[in-house]
Amino acid sequence: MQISLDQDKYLDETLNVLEIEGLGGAWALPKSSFGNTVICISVASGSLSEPVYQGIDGIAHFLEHRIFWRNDKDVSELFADLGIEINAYTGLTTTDFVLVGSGDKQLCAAIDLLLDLLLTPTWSLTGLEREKDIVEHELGLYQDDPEWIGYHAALCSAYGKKRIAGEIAGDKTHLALIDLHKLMHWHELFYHPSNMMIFISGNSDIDRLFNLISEKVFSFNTDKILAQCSWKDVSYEKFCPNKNSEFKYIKNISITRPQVFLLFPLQPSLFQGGELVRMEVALELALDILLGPSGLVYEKLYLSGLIGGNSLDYETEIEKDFGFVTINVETDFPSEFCDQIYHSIGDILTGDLVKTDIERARKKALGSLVRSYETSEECVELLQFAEGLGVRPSAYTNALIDVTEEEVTEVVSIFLQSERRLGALLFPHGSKLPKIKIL
Amino acid sequence: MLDVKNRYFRSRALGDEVSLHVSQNVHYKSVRIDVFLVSDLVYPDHTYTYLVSRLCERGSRNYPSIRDLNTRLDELFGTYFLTDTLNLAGNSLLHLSVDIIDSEYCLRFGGNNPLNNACSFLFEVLFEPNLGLDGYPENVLDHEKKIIERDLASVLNDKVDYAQNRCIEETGRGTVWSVSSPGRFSDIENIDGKKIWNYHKNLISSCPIHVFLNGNVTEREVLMLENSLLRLLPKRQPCVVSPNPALRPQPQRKIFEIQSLSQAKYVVSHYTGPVLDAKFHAKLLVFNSLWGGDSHGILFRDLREKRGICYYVDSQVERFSGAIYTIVSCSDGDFDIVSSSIDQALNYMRQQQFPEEFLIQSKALIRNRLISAIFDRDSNLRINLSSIITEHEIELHKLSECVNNVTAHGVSEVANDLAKGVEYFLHDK
Repeated sequence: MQISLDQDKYLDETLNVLEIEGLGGAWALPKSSFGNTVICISVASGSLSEPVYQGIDGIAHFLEHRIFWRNDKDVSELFADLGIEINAYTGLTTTDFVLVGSGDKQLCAAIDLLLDLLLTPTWSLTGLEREKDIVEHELGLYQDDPEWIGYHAALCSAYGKKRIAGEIAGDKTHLALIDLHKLMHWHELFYHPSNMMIFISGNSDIDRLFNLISEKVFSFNTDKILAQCSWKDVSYEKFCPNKNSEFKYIKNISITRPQVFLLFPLQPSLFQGGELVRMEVALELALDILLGPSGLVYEKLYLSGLIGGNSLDYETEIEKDFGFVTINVETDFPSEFCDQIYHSIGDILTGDLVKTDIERARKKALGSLVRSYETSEECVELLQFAEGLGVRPSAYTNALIDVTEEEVTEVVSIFLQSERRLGALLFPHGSKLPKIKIL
Repeated sequence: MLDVKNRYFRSRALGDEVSLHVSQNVHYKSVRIDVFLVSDLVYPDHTYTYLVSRLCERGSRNYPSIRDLNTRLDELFGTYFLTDTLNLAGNSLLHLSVDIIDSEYCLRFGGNNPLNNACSFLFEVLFEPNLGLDGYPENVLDHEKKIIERDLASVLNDKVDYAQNRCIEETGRGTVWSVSSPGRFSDIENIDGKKIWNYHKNLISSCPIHVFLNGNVTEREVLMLENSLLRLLPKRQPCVVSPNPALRPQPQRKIFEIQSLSQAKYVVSHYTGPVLDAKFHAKLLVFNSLWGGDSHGILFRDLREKRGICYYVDSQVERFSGAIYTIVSCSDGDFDIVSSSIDQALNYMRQQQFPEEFLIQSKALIRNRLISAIFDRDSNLRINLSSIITEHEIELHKLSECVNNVTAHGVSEVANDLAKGVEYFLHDK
């Protein structure tokens, strides 16, 4: 077992990194002053792998539901015996199993149990069809969430029918194709320690947890079960936007006013040659300069009634093979809002806004980063976020400190300055469709 | 061994119904200051308070525009600033908060200690807002009214929240507990800048004020905050805000509402009676976990896992009003099956028909949550504030001990005493 330390000299944080053969890796941020510990076992089994391996949309998510079935019953309650909460989420590239609790003994027992469930499941037909009903109900629940509808419609606008734009949980037709054999095959492909990373933060004895993880991985690997995939080496398509992509209009949604979801797909080919983390940081600062409440654009949007109090959201999602920026707003004037945003992107490149505003945006982002070390949950999120960018958290801090004005201007120019407007517009019942100017 | 001694707030009076509560904790990387002004939860005042909270974000004497105000916050290393209104324990609260990163990090990033400036900023926004000649500028006021009108209308967008709030309103009809929204637009439609400024002045001169300071702060910094507050605090004529009694059971009702939906939302309330002592509180927490609050709860097992009729099921205890709300997202035609399944499940709970190991699991989960809450900044603040307002102190360690002593019989007692209130069904045609 080899543990190395990675120091963040600015934030006084020490990342413990466990490197052992046959495991994707384990990262831990010890926090003796916290009241709990969060452990996330992340399996690189997400929806983006589905078209490459089996072609069944939703199988990664379905397995997340079924992994807790043992001897014909749901055993997730065994974690409750230990006073430990368990939760699971499936995303585009991973399925995350998250334990929250306290006490070294209890957490060791919980991680031991979880690894057993993930690595050596038992399979049963019991409840398989009922689970499909439950997933269908889950899909139905999201259909009442306008943000969910808008987000997927915006992705669809850019990526068409590619998997990245679809529901993580799949749809009824694909769910019907799932059977025990296919689940077992999917498990065999992805649920191997080589294809997992473990992220930990909190008040537990990290050495003890690392020892346990090492023993479990060692004993699993001595059974000579070969890994089919390894962490960050899982195949999936590189997701470029479609050439014939177009803005989506969705009518008759049960909302009170229109909602706009602008999407800026990032070309993965442009990630090559630069550090992903610096691009992410530069995009973060660019978006704050463009849309943050201290900026001219925000003030103009607010005072002209195009946005309300807290109705403007923007977010970046970037990994090595795909990336996009979303800007969402609830507004009575969607066309005017869109015009304003696209004009402002042009203005940012021609004026000296980046130059005058970059230090303010950097200070704000540094403040935000300091705060993300305040709870176990936030620390684990930060570890996963940095890992997704291919760096340790200290490298993220360094990038934030020294990213340059030129880098910020460059990401605006290559990622946000778009010839075509993409995204989606949701309309309430009975309202007339305004036109978004398609350039 | 976890150190909990610095997690609690030390309180001291600074003036007439003005109190400072300090928790000095070296482990936090940021310092939080929260100011609460407590008043009775009545209309139209509650809506006026909501309007004041919005106007506080529109600038102050030295930072007269949104942009000036936010630029100032960013200069202080992205100090978070928040204003809102809360309904807590049947009271209306104006809440302002700033979160400043610890001075040590500011120094490392080439800045100065921002705490003093952040304190001045916070109290300036509250006591010296941006005014015209005769109160709030009319253009600013009109703009914020429009935003409030939109925000209030937007509650329809989140169907689960909407259905739950409607059930809360109907369950508490005729009492303060019926107020689930931050306001009513009709209350402020015709208000002018002078009147709302007079209301604001009345709030700061008459409401009990609680200031919470929480983080790695020195005694000198605490004193600095006191001075910063007292320098701007107007002459006070404090009023008394009395605690509100819990809901009394009313006759059962069923309410159906039609909206365009993919899935119906079923919400039912049960009256629990007042939750005044730790033993009953502990029993109620364990009941809720065994009911719909956790994944081994009877509703999760029965409605979701056994019958497959829903994905989303949840239950929440409203300790102050004395009610528990159960929420299920189901098919349009499933009202009867969900309603009868819930009645049946409650009977099982009354007859102690739940496995002993589930009781043990619930107790273990709740104890861990309570320990975590001691270390969680937001939970700790909320518990302290509610203890002050309700005049019933919650000690999490004591509550945790009480949870440990809850028996299956105790849980069935809670179930037996529950009285069904309102069934609210939001569904498509």
